[in-house]
Amino acid sequence: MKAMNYDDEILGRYIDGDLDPRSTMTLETAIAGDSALAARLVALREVSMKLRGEFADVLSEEVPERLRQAVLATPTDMRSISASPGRGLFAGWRMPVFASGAAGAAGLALGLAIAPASVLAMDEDGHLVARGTLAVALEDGLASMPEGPAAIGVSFRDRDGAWCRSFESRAAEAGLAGLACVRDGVWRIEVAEAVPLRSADYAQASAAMPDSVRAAIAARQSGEPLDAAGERAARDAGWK
Amino acid sequence: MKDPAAAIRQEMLALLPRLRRFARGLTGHADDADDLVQDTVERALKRLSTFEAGTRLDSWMYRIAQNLWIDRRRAARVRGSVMSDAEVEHVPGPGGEAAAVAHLEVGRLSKALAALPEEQRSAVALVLIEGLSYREASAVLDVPEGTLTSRLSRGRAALAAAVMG
Repeated sequence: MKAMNYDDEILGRYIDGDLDPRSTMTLETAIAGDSALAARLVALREVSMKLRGEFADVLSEEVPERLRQAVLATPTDMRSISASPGRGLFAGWRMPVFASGAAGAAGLALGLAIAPASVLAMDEDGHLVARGTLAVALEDGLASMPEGPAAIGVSFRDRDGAWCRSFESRAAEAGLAGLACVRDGVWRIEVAEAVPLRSADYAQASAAMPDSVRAAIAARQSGEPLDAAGERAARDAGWK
Repeated sequence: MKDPAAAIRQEMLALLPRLRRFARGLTGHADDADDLVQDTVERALKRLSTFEAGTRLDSWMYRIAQNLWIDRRRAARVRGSVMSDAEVEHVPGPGGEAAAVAHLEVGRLSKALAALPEEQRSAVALVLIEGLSYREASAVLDVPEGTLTSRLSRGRAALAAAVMG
């Protein structure tokens, strides 16, 4: 039975075009001299052909209008991100320029020589916002789940009632610690600072939280930070 | 103000037929499939900031669809209202009266697909129906390539047995 499974895998790879040339040659030689193996190949190949044929019609069906409307009319959380004309949306994102007046006006205390552009973007008003794995972590992450490309520290409401979360990102081989607060569904970076890249363990990271981030938290926090249950509830409610 | 997501929306429109096909394979039901596609599109647009620039939009949306479907199945199981296999509508609809024999076979394969364990069905749908490479499919499902390969292999063997059955 074990051997059969093994053969099925190889045959499957062969059918799906995922087998390297050398193994392909070996297999084709084996098939030529083994009628049972050849029959098995035919049976497995038939599955692919029939399935594909059966579902092919879906592609030529008219797409329901409600789905087209969902694509065209659903509001997006990217509405404030600027796009350069003619270059596509994401190509238009640029590396944040921290010395610029716009960033300065947003009150950023950034000590970054280089910023990981894969997790940060500048919106039209000059606010730095999270994107990529950092945006995912801010939206979905919990302090109890420190693994992954970004880890969450504390979560609390600021004095305007907006949710804020401290974070540490490890994306693109660059350590970045900071504080982000959500406005209109977008996580704005209030403060961020390059930090040494720790291997994997975020456990000691809070001890090493930069002073700028601590200060930013102290300046904004209203009330107690969320406990684990509160954090989960706020996340599940979409940080409303 | 110019819609900054305009380009992405156009890409998504072009992806709708493939997303519908993938969802049809996952759910085994035409209406459920379109509901899933709609939820997928809405989720994707509302969280467009989480899309990693330079990666494939189709893979990202397959992944969202897959995760939403798993969530929905889980919720349905909690409510105790999961459809039995007998209730699963046979997949692409009645395909015309022309080929009654083919129709019978179609029903058999669709039922077999619907009866596969969730993880095998998604592997089959992505590779055999959508034509993704093993690498792409394992990225969508967030599993190692070896895991994808073995799920796919088991699923395909079960379908072959059903076709021959």
